Amino acid sequence: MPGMARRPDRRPFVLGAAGLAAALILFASPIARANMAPVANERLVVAAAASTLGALNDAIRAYSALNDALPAARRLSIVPVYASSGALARQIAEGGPARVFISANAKWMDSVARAGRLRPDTRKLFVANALVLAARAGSGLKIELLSGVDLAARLGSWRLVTADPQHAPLGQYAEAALRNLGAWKGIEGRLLRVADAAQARVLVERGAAAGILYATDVAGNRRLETLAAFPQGSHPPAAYEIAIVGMAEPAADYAAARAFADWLMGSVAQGIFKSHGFLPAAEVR
Amino acid sequence: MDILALTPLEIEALNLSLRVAAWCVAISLPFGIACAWALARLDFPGKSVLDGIVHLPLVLPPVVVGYALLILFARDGVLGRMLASLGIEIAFTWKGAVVASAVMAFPLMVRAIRLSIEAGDTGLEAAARTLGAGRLGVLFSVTLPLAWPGILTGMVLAFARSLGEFGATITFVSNIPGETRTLPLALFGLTQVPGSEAAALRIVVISTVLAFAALIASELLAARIRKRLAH
Repeated sequence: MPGMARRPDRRPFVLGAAGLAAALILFASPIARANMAPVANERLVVAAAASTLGALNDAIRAYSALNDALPAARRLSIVPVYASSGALARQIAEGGPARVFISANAKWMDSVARAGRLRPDTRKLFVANALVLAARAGSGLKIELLSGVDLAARLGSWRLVTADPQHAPLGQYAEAALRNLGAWKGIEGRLLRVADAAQARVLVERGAAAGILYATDVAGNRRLETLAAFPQGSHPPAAYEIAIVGMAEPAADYAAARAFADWLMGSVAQGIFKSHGFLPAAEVR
Repeated sequence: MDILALTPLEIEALNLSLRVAAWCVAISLPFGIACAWALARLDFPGKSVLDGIVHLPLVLPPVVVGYALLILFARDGVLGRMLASLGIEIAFTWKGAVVASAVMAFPLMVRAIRLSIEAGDTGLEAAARTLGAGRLGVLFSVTLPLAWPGILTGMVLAFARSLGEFGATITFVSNIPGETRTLPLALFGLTQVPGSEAAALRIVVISTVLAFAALIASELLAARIRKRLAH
């Protein structure tokens, strides 16, 4: 009997020890170390709309490659934080550590300005985007976005996902476009509202629903197909803005943020964004 | 007094939260009792595996549970397709919110019930057997009545856990006003919106009052049951 009682006690211990050992090996391994951010003297937090994830990550890689040529003491580690622009604006207004803010609309940039957290002279139009109705590749859906379209009927058993209009610009553009087409009332109850544009894209990729996404998330994405583009003028232009945050920060911080923000407006970074389907600032009318 | 009146959004979220929590408890109770009883009184191969599976939602990040449910119940998922052929849609509906919070609350319910079944007097059960009661008879006439305080605790814990469920719910059924936007999801939405601090604070207060009321109600009930069992 005592032998039988001991066995169930020992098993969790053995499992726990094995788990701990695995964790130690993982953290000590070169692979794990390579994935961690390199130790840098400076950290620049960039708060960016979730829809810029792919393009901005590429841009940061390119910038870091330039940066690696610098002596170690002057190297900069850029830490992107992606979420809906509204959520980021809220965090920045509350004193979040971001030094550069890329918002997918002017409204949430305004809210940060009102909170007195922007350097107004650094605020610029960054890139522009478009909205499409998309589904997983091979969905068999065929929908035209004409005025008065009954989306719910056209989608059949499919639900429609987009970012939450309460705080995500994508959702706000989507709601404006659907209202403009007279399709909002009919689809409102079947509209899934997720935290940001990136999550909406993932749900459409998974085939959980059709979605209203940014064109940049669908272009070149083999898992997705565009069903229809929203007519120009059916929603306010999806114009992204960039600005430097923090009026009272140390000058060194400001210089690093300024250098990165200026580089993002330059031809290399704008070219990277263009290759992801964004409209560069210079081409926005 | 206007400040005390609930807004339509708050009423909607509150109603939905209560409905989801009530269904969560109602659906998981029979399974919870069966599972707790099996773990407390039976010896069978794979018991530690069952124990592990039951407790998994307690230690997994809720988002993992939500994502797993999404994979299972989405329109392409194994269960999603089966249910769709029966005309039932779980993902992205309030029923999905019930499923998500039931899974998350299940370990808490089972633990509470199991503990009180284990604490029950096996002598009384043996006596009932010698008096001719079958296994089910013993369960319903001796074991469960004795375990009643634990069952009630399990129900209250599951109810409270369901009221507070966030991660699995938002991952599995997203945030649909009137359908899946419970109090925590409504609060999360508001915390994302610049300039809605006051509205968010109101939901914080509502959630706190609700949780507190549930705790007090369960304390009062438990005290009454203890008194009755003591006689």
